[in-house]
Amino acid sequence: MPGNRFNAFSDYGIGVGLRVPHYDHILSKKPVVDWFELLAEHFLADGGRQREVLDRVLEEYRVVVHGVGLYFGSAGRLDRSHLRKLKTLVRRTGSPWLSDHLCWGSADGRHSHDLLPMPFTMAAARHTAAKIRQAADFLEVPVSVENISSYAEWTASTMTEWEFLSEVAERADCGILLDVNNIYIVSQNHGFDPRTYLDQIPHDRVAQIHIGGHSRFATHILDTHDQPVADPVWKLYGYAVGKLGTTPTLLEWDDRIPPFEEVHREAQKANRFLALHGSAHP
Amino acid sequence: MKHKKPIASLPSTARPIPKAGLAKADSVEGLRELQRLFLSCITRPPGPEDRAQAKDDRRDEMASLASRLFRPSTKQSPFDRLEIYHRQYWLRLREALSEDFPGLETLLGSERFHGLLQAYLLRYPPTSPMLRDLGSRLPRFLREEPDRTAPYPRRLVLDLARFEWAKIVAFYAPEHPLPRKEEGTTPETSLFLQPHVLLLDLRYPVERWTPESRSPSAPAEGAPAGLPPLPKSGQAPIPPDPRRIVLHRQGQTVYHKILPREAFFLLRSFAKGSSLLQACARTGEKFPDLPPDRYREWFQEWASLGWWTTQPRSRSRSAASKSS
Repeated sequence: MPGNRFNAFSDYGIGVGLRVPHYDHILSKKPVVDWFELLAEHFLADGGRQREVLDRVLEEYRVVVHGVGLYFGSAGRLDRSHLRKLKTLVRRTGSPWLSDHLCWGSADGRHSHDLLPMPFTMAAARHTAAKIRQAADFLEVPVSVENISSYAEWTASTMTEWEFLSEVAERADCGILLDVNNIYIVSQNHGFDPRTYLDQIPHDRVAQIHIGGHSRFATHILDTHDQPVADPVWKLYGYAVGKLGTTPTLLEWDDRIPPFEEVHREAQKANRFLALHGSAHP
Repeated sequence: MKHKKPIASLPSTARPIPKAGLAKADSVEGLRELQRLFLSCITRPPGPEDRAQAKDDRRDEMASLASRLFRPSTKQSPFDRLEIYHRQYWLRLREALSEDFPGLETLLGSERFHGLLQAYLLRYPPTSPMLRDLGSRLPRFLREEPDRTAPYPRRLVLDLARFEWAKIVAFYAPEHPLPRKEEGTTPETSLFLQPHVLLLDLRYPVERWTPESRSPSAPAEGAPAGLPPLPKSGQAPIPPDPRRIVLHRQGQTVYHKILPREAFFLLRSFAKGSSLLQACARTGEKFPDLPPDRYREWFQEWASLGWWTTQPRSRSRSAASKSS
């Protein structure tokens, strides 16, 4: 699939997350990587090593800013101070789009530092979409929302997660960062066919895909990003790119991080699926 | 966002569970009420009721609330599902603070340190979207709660917390433009300390005992080899050994340096802005026997290290630099 308006019609291929243990390798070896994803909140400081690393990375690579702190689904207002910092970072990095999560995480100014699940109701969708629109207007780049992993389902929900995601994306006129690992996790934790999720969302809004590893326990799966992508997730990724076509894809590996080459090799596995399934897309 | 694998619970104190009927999230106000309720559930102190074998009223009450909030899965009750978020909340925040205050954890021991963090987070829950701000009020909390530091002297624990927090501040602080001759800087020009230059007036030699932490590193300048290991919880009392320290960042590294009290007094003049002439005059009044050569040496050194700027410092994140 060529780029769309939610990823600024860009041609980004396979990327990896920019993580501290890899800084020295990246800066000294300058490996060939199509793009890096920055965790925004790690790069909002005015000084220090993070900023210096970022300046050097920007000399060589394309980056996309990915946030964890906007909490579009929180009932409170957007944090304008945080938005201003994000805008500065987006401008400094030339990030063609910005993504954050379809979740909430704060109430009355108190932060959970977690990505908490939304009750899937129409009122929540309307409220969340309005905040995404406000953020996109302020940031002046396309915004995409990412589906999260969850471990609980609200009794208050009146629709499915994919209906909620679609409703929010349509109302906000925003993009979707489709986390295939998260779809797999919630399908296992909550009991549904993950292909139904992929079939039902608006494909033309998908700006980017995330893949990553998870940890399986006896009663549930946790999104731990501490190991290679599981086979069922690769399979689901193949199904997704069959629907979406070639889409910018990023591997997340955030804990027990192996050497850079291993992370990059794992990310490159996506090429196999893109060649096999992505090209079949009209 | 990744999740950590579960850990054991801490002891807790009871907290009331809301009795009111549940909102339906069919309005923004309803959504707000549900989110408040959920947040109060996951931020409650971990306690015995969290354990699967626990049989008490508190657990029953929580389980009843959870079943009104969440659907069960085929393998988990609503309470089990709620508890995943409860555990993650405390685990994530404890891990973040352990990384920022490694010396404090070693000194107090894990159990006492975690008890301190729990009390701290209950009084000062996170209010910043950035996790690195989490420990900003720990020194203040230690001033407010001197009994939390037992059996160690309050000032020892406070000094260590201030030192470790100052390292974080120095690491992330901006660097303002240096004074430039071509901009007409004179001895009358007001100068300020760079935001990454922090002054600490300490009673204990805590800088010796700070292990490497997650991101900032703070090697001592001219530190002798074989420094004494950090005293473990329960070991012999630590004697005071007052010192005045400046922390500063060079490139990507935070350093610390012990200053003579005259130099510390002089440098502190610039914290709120001062000209060289004003600072020298004030220092001369306090230390009339200080030879002029010393001023020259210090000014040359500090200028070469880039410690001054003509731009005033913003008030944010400066708590660690407060001398007490």
